[in-house]
Amino acid sequence: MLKTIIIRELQNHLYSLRFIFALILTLFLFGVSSMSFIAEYKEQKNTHEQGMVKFQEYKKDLAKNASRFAQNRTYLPLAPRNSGFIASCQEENIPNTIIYSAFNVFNYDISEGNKNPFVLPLKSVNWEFILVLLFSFLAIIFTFDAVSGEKEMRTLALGLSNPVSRGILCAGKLIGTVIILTMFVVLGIIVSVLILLFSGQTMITYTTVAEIGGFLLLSLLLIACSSCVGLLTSVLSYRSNTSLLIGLMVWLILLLIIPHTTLLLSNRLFPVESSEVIIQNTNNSRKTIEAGFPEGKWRSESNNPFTPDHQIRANMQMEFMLGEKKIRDNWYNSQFSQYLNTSKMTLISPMFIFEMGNEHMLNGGFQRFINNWNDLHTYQEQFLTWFKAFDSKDDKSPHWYNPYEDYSTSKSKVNIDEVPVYSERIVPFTQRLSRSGIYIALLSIYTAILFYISFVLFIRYDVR
Amino acid sequence: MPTVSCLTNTGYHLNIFNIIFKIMILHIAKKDFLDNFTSARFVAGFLLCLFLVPFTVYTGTRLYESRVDKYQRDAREADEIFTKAQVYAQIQPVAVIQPSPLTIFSKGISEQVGSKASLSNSEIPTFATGITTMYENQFLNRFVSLDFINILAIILSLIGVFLSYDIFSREKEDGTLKLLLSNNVKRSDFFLGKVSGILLTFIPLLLVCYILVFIILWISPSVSLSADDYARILLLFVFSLLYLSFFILLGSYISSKAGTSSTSLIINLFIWCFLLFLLPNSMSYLGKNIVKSDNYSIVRMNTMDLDNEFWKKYGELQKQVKAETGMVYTNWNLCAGWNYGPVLLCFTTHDVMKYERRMHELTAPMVLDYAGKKWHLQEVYLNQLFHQQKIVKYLSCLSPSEILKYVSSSLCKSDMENHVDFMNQARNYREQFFNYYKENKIFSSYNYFSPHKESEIPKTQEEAMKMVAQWRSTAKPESTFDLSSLGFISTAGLPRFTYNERGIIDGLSDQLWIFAGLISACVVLIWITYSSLIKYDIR
Repeated sequence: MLKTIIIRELQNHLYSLRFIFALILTLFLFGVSSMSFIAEYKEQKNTHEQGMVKFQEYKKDLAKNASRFAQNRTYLPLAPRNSGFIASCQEENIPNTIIYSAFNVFNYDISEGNKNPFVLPLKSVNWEFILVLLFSFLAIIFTFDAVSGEKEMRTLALGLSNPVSRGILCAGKLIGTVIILTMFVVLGIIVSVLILLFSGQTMITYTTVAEIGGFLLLSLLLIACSSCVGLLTSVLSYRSNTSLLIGLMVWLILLLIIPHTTLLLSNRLFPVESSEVIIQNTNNSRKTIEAGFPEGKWRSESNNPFTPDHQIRANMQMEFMLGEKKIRDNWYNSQFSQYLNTSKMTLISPMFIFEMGNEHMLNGGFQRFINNWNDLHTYQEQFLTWFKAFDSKDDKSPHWYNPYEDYSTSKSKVNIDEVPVYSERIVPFTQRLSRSGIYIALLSIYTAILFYISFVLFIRYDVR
Repeated sequence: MPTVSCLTNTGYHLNIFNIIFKIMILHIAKKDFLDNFTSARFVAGFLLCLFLVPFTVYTGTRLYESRVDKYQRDAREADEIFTKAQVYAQIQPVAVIQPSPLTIFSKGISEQVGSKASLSNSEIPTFATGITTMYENQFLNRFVSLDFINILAIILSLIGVFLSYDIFSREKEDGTLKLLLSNNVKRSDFFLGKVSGILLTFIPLLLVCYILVFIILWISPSVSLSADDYARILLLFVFSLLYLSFFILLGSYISSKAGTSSTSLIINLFIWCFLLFLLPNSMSYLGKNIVKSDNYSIVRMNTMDLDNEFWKKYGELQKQVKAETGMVYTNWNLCAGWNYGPVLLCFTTHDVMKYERRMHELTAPMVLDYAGKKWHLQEVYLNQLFHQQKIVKYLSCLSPSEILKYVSSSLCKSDMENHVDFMNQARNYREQFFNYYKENKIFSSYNYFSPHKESEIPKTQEEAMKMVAQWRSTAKPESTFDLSSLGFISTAGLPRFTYNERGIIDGLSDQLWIFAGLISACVVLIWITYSSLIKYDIR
């Protein structure tokens, strides 16, 4: 019976006007997304490579003086991700550059890169965007009249006069919609992948195929969840237009209003110190540290590294840095937790669960940033150990480590090939998938609850 | 004579009918207004507005207040550059722009661009600095951030669609359309009556939204609106109605074409979703990737090449001046700042000071010259960004919601044109400022880098050290770098930055094309809906 209902639903959808509209929009958007991604990725890759070449030249120049080489504040931009066509994970809007030296991981920033600050903020079009916006909308459009529409046409009572349980009817309608919309997604993905393959800009590897599989799984769940929202609104009213109105209001709330509201609440619920306070605290800490050091702390002799004042200042500068690092690291951690708490609040919206699932599955966005941030701290320690070992071999150096000046450490030339290099860690796909498991489970639970409520309401629904 | 009488008679009848028709339009509008006002769709949208508008505006106001705080701090600091300068080299002006309270209505690009321009001798600013994100925590950029106009654009258009999708088809389905048109009612009047009815329904909704905003703004102590601001808000109100008319007319047109109400609703909603969410994002994304701009990091690296060239020349100049003045080792006894920047040098011997004066005399024009050379690269890059913005703007303005955003950001002084105007004024001021230095030979004076008059400069190192010791014992500076007791220079004659705001007309003339586009779209919709209605099968 379930099969019959599903087939009937599929046939109904196939001949409907919304089917044609949905098909046109799907093809249009998937086409736009891949074409734009190709252009964007090519540009980003070129710029990144160009930047790296310039950076290597700069490093070679710096390597003439070991201390300057170690103290230099290096900007590490995250390389463009080749799975960006699936989801950008908002990487262009959140910090994507980390600033470090051998002594400290200082800060993070949003690189200006290819951004145009004069363009009104809009989202980049990728598969995730299409699913979140178009398919959640389509799911509601395809299901809003599943019950109320049939009631209006008086076919509901007829249908139920056959030996069919309400549960099966409800499930059949849901499965029919999910199948048809998933087919659209698959079609879109095929078109998109073909364009990408023909462009030759992105390599489709086994990992990419696995990522596309993961994305499809999450998409299936998002479509099922959004269809359940549509189904629920359909059993809430006896008129299909009212169902649609409720459905769209709920869609707007889930898509825009919840993330907007949690953002507005975040500063209230999880306050973070302002940058002015941090600067003030850093200055105060500097003043206190400076007062504890004897006269002559600012005196220097460029010709004599062993001047005792250099040791005083090296200790003072080191304390300055450590003092600032403590204040800043606390501030950064509070920012991270503010973001994570806001994200947790936003998980009320299934669209956001879907986005978070993708972020973990693709290791993009905040996940990628925080992995790099933590790994860079480990690397910085290795870098410092290397520098200290290098410095210890130099007899001309008094070995007084100063994070900002080169008076009291080695000024010898560095062989750049001997320096440890930072490279981004590749997280295996299975590990990423297991991390996104929680979001897959959440979406499934969400869908199950919505379906259960729809089912309970449908049991009490007056079908006459 | 009978002919005349007949004509008069007809004319008389026509007048009466005209009056009746006009009354008829009013009747239809009134009936529709009352129907819509009590409908579930209107009430649902109204409640959503009632929740969202105060919440968003309240938070927007708080953010505006924090921006005002920052502005006041920045303005004070910019002023202190002049009032607490001890030498002319320390004056590297900063131009600051006051945030407009209208950004609470439409934030435009105000959160993406800074609010102050650093006007140093060594660099002409490409971008403004200062706050460039809404929140301190840059990770929060991930979340959707809406302003008052965004909310109006989404909710108003949705209610507009819901009220107009069945404008004709429902009357037809209920069987009231043929009844109505069998009376002396023209189809055009019926159409106008219907559309006016829906528009009338929105006036109280819009008024309530705007009144709520005003209440929040009035109780907020830091927000004060000028007469110009009120005029801009009034225009915003009118424009919101025009934007709404587009969706009502679009709904009416589809209603006149579609066979049933439900078909009309589905088509309307697809178009709504496409126009509001899909089209602007895809067009903007496509536009940005079709029209390329250089990468800013690369531009910065190229300007760094010029900096390196500058340093080479600087080194050559140093050698030249050393040879000229017979200087071997420059011993600075007490200084602050750096080489050609905001430097201060005191208690230093006459020969070193002479050397420094000559260096400044020769390097200052070179510094300005290199700032100009770097600016050529930056200007090319900026022009690319402007061009890209224009293409993205026109492409995304295929969607009326984007037109509303662009026009309102222009009215709320948060669009690109306002920002560019500020930056241009700041750059012009920079030129004027350093020209003043050139004309008054400030670069070649001792006061450019030293608080001492020429006669006060010590001749020997011993004399200099004695002066330092004496100053330390009398002035008792708080820290090694506390030179405040050396006094401040008078900066009364120096040119100061004042920002001249753009008028409403200038702002609107930038948006003339897209504004005209929306009006034309409305006119076309009226025309095609009317033509379609004439042929409409009312049975």
